[in-house]
Amino acid sequence: MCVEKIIFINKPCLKPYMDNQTILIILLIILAWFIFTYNRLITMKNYVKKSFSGIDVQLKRRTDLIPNLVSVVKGYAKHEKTIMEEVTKARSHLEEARKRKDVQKMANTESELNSAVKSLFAVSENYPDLKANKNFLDLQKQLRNTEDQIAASRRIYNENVTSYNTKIEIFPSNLLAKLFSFKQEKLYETKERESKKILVNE
Amino acid sequence: MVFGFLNLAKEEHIEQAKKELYSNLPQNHEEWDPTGKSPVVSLIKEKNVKNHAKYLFLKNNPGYVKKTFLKIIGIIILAFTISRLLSHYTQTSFFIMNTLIIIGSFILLIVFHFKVQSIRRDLIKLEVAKENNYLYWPDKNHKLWRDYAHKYTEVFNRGDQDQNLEDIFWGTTNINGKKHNFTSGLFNYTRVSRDNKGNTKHQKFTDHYFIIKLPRRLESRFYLYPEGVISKIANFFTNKKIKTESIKFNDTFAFSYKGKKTDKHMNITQILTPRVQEELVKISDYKKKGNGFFTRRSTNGLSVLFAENAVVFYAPGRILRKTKMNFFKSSDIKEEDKNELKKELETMIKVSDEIINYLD
Repeated sequence: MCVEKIIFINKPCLKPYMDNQTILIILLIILAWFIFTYNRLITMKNYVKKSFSGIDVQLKRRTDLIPNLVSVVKGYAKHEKTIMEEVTKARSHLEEARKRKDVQKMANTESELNSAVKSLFAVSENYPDLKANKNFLDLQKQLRNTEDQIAASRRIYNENVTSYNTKIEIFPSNLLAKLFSFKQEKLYETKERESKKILVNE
Repeated sequence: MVFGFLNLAKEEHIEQAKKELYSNLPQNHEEWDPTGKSPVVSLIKEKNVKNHAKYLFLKNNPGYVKKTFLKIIGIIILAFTISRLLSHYTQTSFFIMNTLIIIGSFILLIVFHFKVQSIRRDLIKLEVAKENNYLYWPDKNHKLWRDYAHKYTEVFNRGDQDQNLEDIFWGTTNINGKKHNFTSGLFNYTRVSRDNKGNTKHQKFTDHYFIIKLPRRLESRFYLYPEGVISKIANFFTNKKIKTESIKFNDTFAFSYKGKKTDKHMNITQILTPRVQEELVKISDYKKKGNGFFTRRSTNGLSVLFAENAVVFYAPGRILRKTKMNFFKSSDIKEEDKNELKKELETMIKVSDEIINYLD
């Protein structure tokens, strides 16, 4: 017998605050939110991975172009050994970082390679025959395009990481992120905020 | 009398306009149109001369628009005074007459406003066309729309009546030292719908398009359009969505194409390089701006069709939404207006540059 019926005999007995049906609906809503948020977190994490491999593909393309560039330059500027060694060294550093898949190291070595390649192009200014070489011009164009694509891939990656990190931090999805140990991802930040285009002739 | 300003192309200015324009308009045009037909240059020149004559007339008569506006206001005041006097002497109510005068004044001012706006846009566009050696056609063209709707069904097959293309540019742009043809313009149409009570509702829309010719044919035809609830549901059943590495791109665009996803995936992702994705998202965000609560838009953002040897960009609203040019102060074409229009065209050219880079 409920309390109201004992004290106020005439008052009808109140129904329990929530019946089983309501509880079931609430549980289903929580379960749906749980599934949706978990899937969204997984999807976002996969996007971060996918965009990272996007950068990796472009970097690979770039490192593949470097040996060709060095051999073309060697033919004309034999005395610029130091710069060519610097480019080769920076390339191998980047390759190493790529193998380790270390975001920070990749960003740093990419900047190192950028400045080495820039010096190489600056030196090429002193060799008019090299500047007029068709292979050199083609490589220059390809490198410039690849660098643009790397910059765009980097921005996409950083955008994805920011969205993912925000999702992990904000309430209520942070509860689920903690429960399943979703960790924050690092941004891909090069030393130069916006890498400048490699231009010699244009 | 009031709308004498509609006929601004006076004979004496037409001759001067011919001299000024013909020296600037290229003599041997190689303009391209997706329909395969060449624009009739002589007709276009004739039209441009008329518009340029309007500009010359306004330049020689700087206070003309202001005077016409004051004339309209004068006529309205006079009509009210006569109505008031008549009601005073005859001692009868002139309610109906006053109402008619108010409605008439309202219509007169609206027509004046739109006509001035239209002349303003025409002059700015003609000036940009003149500076960049483009061909420009300001009038409405229904036949061209029919051809476009046949060729690019996904984009131009809209509306139920009054479909036409207007303010059309044909020009070339230089990408990587090579010339690429493009065409751009406005697309007007009316959507007719019926409500529950059986009343017919007419909704007019004006959108803009930009079509650039590609150096070679694309292997896959596909259409990107703004992602929404309907496209998400459709994708649930069709599984056509191709997911790129960008969350923002995937949230912005939905895909439409014929054939299997597995067959198209490679071709499509090759065209949608990181730079292209980035640019398309930027343009779409920009085109969404100004979508207020009361703004009626046909689409929410940018749509892009990659078809055969062309890319068609389609966005809601006019290409030149607001103009700084003010006839009440001066008839000079403002640099800001020209730059605004150039910026709009350059945005499309920039992303086309990225696509062409890949195709080259």
